Amino acid sequence: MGNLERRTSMSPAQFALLFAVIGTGTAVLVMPATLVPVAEQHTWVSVILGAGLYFLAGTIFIKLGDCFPGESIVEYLPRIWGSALTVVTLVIFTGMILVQTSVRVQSFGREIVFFMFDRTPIEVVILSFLVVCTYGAVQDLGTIIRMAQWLLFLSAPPMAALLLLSMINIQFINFFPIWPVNIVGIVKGAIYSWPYYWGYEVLLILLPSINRRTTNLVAAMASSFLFKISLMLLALISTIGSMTVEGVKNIIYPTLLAVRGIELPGTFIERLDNYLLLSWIPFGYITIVIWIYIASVTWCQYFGYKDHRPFALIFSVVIYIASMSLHDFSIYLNMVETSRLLGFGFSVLIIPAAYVVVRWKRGRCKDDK
Amino acid sequence: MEYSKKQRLHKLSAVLIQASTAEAKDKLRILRKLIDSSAELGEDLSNLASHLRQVAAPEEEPFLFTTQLSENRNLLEVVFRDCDDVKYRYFSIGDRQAMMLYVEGMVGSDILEKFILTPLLQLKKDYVFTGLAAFSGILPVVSLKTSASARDCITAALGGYAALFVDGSAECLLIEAIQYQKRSIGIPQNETVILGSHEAFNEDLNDSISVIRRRCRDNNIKVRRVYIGERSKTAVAIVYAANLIKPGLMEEVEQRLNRINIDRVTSTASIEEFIVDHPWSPFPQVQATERPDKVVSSLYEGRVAIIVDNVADVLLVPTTYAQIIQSAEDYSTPAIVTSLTRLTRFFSSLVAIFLPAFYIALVSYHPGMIPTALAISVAEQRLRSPFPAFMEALFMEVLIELFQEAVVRLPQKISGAAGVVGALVIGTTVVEAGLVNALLVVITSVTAIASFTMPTYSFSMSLRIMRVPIIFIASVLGLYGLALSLMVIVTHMCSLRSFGESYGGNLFNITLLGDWKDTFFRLPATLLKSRPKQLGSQERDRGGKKDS
Amino acid sequence: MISKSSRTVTGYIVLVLISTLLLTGCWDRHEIQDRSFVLAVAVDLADEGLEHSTKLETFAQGGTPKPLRLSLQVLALAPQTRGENKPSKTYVISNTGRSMHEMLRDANGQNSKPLWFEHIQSIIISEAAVRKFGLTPLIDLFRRDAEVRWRTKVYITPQDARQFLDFVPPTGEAGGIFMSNISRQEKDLHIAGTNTDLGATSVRLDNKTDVVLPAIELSGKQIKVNAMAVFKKDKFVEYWDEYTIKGAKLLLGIEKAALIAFQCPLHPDETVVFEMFQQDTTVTPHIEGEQISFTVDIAMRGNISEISCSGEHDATDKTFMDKSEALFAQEVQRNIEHSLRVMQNAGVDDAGFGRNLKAYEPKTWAKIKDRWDEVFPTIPLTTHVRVSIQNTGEHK
Repeated sequence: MGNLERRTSMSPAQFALLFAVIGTGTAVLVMPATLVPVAEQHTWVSVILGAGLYFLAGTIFIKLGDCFPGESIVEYLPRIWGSALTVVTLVIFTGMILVQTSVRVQSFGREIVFFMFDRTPIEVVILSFLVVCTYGAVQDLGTIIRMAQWLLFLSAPPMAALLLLSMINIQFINFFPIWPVNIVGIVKGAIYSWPYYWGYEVLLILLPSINRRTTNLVAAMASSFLFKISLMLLALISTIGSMTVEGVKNIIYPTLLAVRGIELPGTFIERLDNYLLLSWIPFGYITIVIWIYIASVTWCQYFGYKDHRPFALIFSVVIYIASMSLHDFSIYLNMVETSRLLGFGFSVLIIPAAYVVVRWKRGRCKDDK
Repeated sequence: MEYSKKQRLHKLSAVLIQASTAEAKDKLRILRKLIDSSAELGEDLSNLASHLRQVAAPEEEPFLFTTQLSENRNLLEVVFRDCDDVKYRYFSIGDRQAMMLYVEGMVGSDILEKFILTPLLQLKKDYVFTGLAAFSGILPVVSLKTSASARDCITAALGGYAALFVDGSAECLLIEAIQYQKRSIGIPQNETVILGSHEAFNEDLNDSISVIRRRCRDNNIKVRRVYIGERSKTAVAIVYAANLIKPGLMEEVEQRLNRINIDRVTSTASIEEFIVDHPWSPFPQVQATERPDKVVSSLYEGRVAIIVDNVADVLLVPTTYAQIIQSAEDYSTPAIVTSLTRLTRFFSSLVAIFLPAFYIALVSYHPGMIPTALAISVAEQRLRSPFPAFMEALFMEVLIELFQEAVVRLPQKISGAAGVVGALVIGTTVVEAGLVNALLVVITSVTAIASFTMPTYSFSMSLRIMRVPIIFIASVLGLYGLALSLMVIVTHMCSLRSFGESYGGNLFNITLLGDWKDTFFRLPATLLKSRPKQLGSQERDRGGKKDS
Repeated sequence: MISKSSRTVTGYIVLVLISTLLLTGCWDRHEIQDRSFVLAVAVDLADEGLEHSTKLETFAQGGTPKPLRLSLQVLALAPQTRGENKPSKTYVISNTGRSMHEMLRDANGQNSKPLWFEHIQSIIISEAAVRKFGLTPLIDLFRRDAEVRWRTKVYITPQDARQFLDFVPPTGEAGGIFMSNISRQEKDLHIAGTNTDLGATSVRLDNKTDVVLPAIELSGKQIKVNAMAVFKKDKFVEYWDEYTIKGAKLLLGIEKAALIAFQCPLHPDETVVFEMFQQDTTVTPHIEGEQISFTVDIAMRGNISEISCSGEHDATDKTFMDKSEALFAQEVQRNIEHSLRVMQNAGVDDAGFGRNLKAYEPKTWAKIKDRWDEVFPTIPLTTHVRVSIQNTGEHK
């Protein structure tokens, strides 16, 4: 259709927004329950440290992609370490995506059923959610980028507003003591924060589509990380500040409870935690959509097809079956551990190893601006 | 009188065979069949005759003109058989016979008399006829052309041209003499503004184009004509600013228009639904307007206007959601006031879709979100009505739809009374009867009012369509269903493409940050220095350049 | 491009999915008027309130004992006609059993609509129940359930809790709402309403600090929140009176407005009252070797609000004001020392000393936190109070 709209490319600013929206909702709602038992008072240090770690991992992804300009990982990985290991890597990549998305979908379903409903079966919640996500995942890249921007501007302000409102309940004394410092806990927390920073892995597939003439991609990625850090710090301040570290350790969904405790004298709005859940749903939706899209595009490119839509349908069904099998709480916890391990291993071990191999074979890669 | 002996009454047909009604009916039936079949036969014969006539003619022409005037006359009389408004004027030019054919009502008789017949009748007897082209020096008319094509002659004659035939020439001279009754430039019916121009397009294509030309004396505003409709041959004009539009847009528009395969064009819908990418979507992807100032500012933003003859609306492509929400009045009121009204319009489009569903979700699924005092009061009100919230909402929805449809069809004199009846029925008595509670009436009326704030009427209709499925979803899954349906609507809007431009996706697009100056709010005109980046115009600066 | 047959198949799949959603029923659709609003809950021992009890308030649960009684104040919705504004009445449902949740579920047998807790306003627990079982088992259901509000008010009462649910307030609103709004009065220093709701109590129990809760009493047709029930961790200890509560609040620095009344400097039999509206309190720990001590610095600003000997002298007179300020400071100090004495005698740390040490002196806290019960009564406190009077109202 001539050169009317460019559907297949994005600018670094758009990538930054896309990345900012992945996993942020979960980061605000679930992160205090996961990280505070590990790092206690110093969870904020864990958060910042984790951001630094995964930012470095993201820059390595960019550098690796720059060594093969215009190609996605499916195309250049066989040249790095052969086609057998490529398949293994892609399977690990897809496995990481599918496991983490199933865990996220299951936890999403649980929270919605627990807080918003009483007797609705979780299958209905997850099924309807996945149907809508599949509708989003079969769209093309241009649509998904615009959806991500829409939903970010739609849901981030209410979430931030609710977190700021919950500041009326905080007591500063709850943040102390500053020492003793538990180094092991902080490092563990930093490693565990992978699910809240994931999203830069999309660079493996989408880097060729980013049009980097005017802005610096690394700076864009850094600003997304800053956005995520600030939201997470807000959540931490509001939960630890109103409920103390011991309180947060004993509560399953601390952010929701912190927001539920908001009582504005003289106003008539109540039960603000339902609004927090409502503003979380778009984040969850776009995260799952982007990941199904990435997984289906990966395999679609590997097999040489043009259309990623059948793969999207297949992966949705797989995610549904996988998340349904996580009903049992202990299996669910195991899966959470596994997904963390997979994610950390992939980002921090496998792809940097590939980069090291490339540098060893080639020497310095020429940067493509 | 007595009957001496019993007389029996007999039917006449027992005596006269021909008088029997059964036979008469039979014969009548046979007669009818004969008449029908002879009519069919007549049609077949005339078809055959026209096919025969066409044998010698090139494709699409019904016949070829000959040099014999009488032949031509016969051919034309056959073609225009039973068209009693087609008139023939016979006269002689020099020593030859001539015939002028015109359609009464489409031509101006004084033009025919003064400028065609008078000079021709004043030609002397010894005038040597050298060909129809020579008449361009005799006839003081502005537009004339010769044509040998019968199809052209027929179409032109029906369009208001007078066709002149002279014995000895196998061509006809088509003289423009168009004068018919049309509506004068009126005021806009649906898009009125308080400050600003009050002109609207009317049905005549040339008038519409002239109204646009009056506003921009720019030779870069190009007008191309295409003819759409196999039988109606409606003229459609494509108007665009050649040095500003995205390369390829005009060709795309023309290509899509030429692909339309339809026999008549009566409204914009005939064209609209053929050229959009997603005809099933409830969102209007083509904007129709009746204001010339809106068309001119759109042309200068890089959009293309499609003007259809006999339709008073002009279509503008490409269209995005932000443009549907803008109204012409926005540019006459101060920037801050406009920004507020724009934000209100965006907000009211959300309200118009989601408010009844939000009420249902809150009352049926999450009443804990309502503050305690209000919750108690709502519960007490709802004790009187027997229906669940979702049925009440549907009931009110149906009532409002009936009411809206009824008011549209009523003549103006009765619509005032209908308004009072509607207010009484819907507002007061439904609550008194205990069918519906008062809060729901408030919500329904707020929703209806919100849907009327849309500047484009077709969009307010599509909001109504979207409301009903969302009511169903909210009644099944509460607020969660509402959130999911919002996701579906956002995805749909972002995936819609109107001639390559994303429909709703560019509302929040960060690469088009400069466009935000005129979307949710409007900055003062001194700051609106560049064209919207979204439409991809070749030149972004509105300062204008001195070039040709 | 999808072929025609797969398009039909997709269409059928979509139809099936949509109909599963629409036809399978809406599990959680209960209209708002089909729910019974529970506005207040009372927890007693099973044999309390026997004069109201009937034989229906129990259920068979397999021979286990039934020590607790749970009573619910339920709102009876009155259908509103136009123009009228009848207040809704409430009624009480009561049940005995062993666990709260079982009692609740069985209580549904006495009601036509499902009981619903999202608008619960107050929880009242009787002293006898809390002495026998401790606080944690009694409020565990409310901490865990998703419906209950985090800011529900909790009260302890020395009498039977159930009679509070029968109380009809003079304003005509429901009893539960009335009782919970009492705690929201910020200016009355005798109400221990700050940080004593369900959420704050839950956090204190998680942190294993001592819990305090306001106490409520009913007498005839009157209700009053007048004392404070204190707990060592979650075991009930005793009640503290209003004077002690005031001193504790002054020590913690959480008051929003306070009245200090003392004798007039010139006429010792008359009273002068100071109304504070702004205060600045800091509590600092001092560690010298093994000895822990605390200092509290208070700066108060306010007005003179009432003088009973006002005809005799000019309240704006500087010497009068200086003397009054000194006397007010003395009264504040006396109040705080009395409260601290009471706290240390009872062994209940409501002064925030433990929390303070944990936050600002974690090393010392780590050493003594297991012996805190013995250390706390020995900690001395030095008080410095400074009062400044801004004006004396409209009259001299």
